[in-house]
Amino acid sequence: MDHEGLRAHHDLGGAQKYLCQGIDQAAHALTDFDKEVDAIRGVLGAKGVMTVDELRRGIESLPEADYHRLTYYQRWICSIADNLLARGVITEAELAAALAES
Amino acid sequence: MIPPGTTVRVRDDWPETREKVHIRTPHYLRGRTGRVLRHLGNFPNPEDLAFARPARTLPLYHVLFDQPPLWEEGSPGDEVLVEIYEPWLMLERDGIADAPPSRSRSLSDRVIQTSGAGVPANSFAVGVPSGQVRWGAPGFPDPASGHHALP
Amino acid sequence: MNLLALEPERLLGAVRALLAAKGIASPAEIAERIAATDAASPAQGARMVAIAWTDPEFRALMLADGTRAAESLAIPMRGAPPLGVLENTPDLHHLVVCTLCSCYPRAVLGYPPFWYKSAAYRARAVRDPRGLIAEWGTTLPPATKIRVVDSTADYRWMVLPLRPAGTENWPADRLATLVRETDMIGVTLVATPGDHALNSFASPRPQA
Repeated sequence: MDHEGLRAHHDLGGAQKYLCQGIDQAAHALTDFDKEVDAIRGVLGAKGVMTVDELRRGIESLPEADYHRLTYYQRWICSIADNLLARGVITEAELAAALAES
Repeated sequence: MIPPGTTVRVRDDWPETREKVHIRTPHYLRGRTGRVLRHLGNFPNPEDLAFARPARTLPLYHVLFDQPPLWEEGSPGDEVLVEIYEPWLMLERDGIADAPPSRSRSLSDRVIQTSGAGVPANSFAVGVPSGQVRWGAPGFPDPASGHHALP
Repeated sequence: MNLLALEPERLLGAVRALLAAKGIASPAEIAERIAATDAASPAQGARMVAIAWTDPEFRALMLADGTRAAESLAIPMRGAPPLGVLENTPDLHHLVVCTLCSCYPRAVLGYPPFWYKSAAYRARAVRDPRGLIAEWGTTLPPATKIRVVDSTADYRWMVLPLRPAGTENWPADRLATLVRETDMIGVTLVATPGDHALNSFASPRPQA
């Protein structure tokens, strides 16, 4: 049974292309960016604004190339922003304005 | 409830090839036969939670599989143990997949909703507004509209 | 708007500003959250393991209900998914992975290590577990079965490793210093004291 062609790109169990890749065991300290994104997701989860399931759906929806290009928490902030827009917590106009101010 | 020790088969179903979904049953177990180790409790269906839809509570099981048959490699005796929600499991009798196990209505019919902070209650049915693509690539279709081609 | 075209730092800045302006997540709440997550570390899991090795009652509680066991040690578990504990024996070794994302028992082990979230680890753990743990220098005798636990759903899983030989009269706080994050994920075995370079049963066989 070859399921390799059917799997979604984030569904990595047994994925052929990574089988020969070694494990980078080095400690990679989290950056301030990483910790803040992580914490924002935690606050949004605790307040019922978005579930961890919605976070995952957003991450899985990233095109495969972007999924692997982005760092772990860069994927998260994209998913968080997308979910906030999808839920109407923020609007595109508000986001555009906030980006313009930054 | 499926009792411990029951032989089950994971549905050989691939919804991700048909539409935009969120699935917690790994691809490598689809169609595979395993054994229920134990019932882990009942949890709201992540396939709905992921789209902020009202989620039915489902029984969750720890299911044990022989590891070597999964890829026809590995060491005899090694195993893979995975959490799987009941709708993905079929009872297997005499090697033939049977109908899905009947659900405990009292548990499965309970609908939970996440509480929204500043989110209108009717936004649960709202996924990504139709036609809106935030990734700049056709990878984020409206979950309600159906068709989704995997990237 | 194509979110992927944005500089992630800028996107974070905009999200931060909007959430603060709307009263959804203030900088103070975010800072508090960071502090709480930083406080969780493998030392907490190690303490649980060491107590389980020395207190049969706690061990039974930990295996039956990891969340309650952690709470009994004042480890904050509120809002965390249920904690399941996988008991290694001389015949059975557990290895935890999340092939779909990166589910990890953060309440008791802290942030997941970088490699745990990597595509290579997620791909290889379920397919070649013995080859994978060999990268950590871990070898198991063929008679010891590996059970790979793919963490796919609502639980979070940690391993209760075997207590190494040569620690018979050690108190729990000293035992805890032996237990590493990798031991509680299952890619390594708790090394026998004075034998930290070796990760195999070649040295005196650990006793449960």
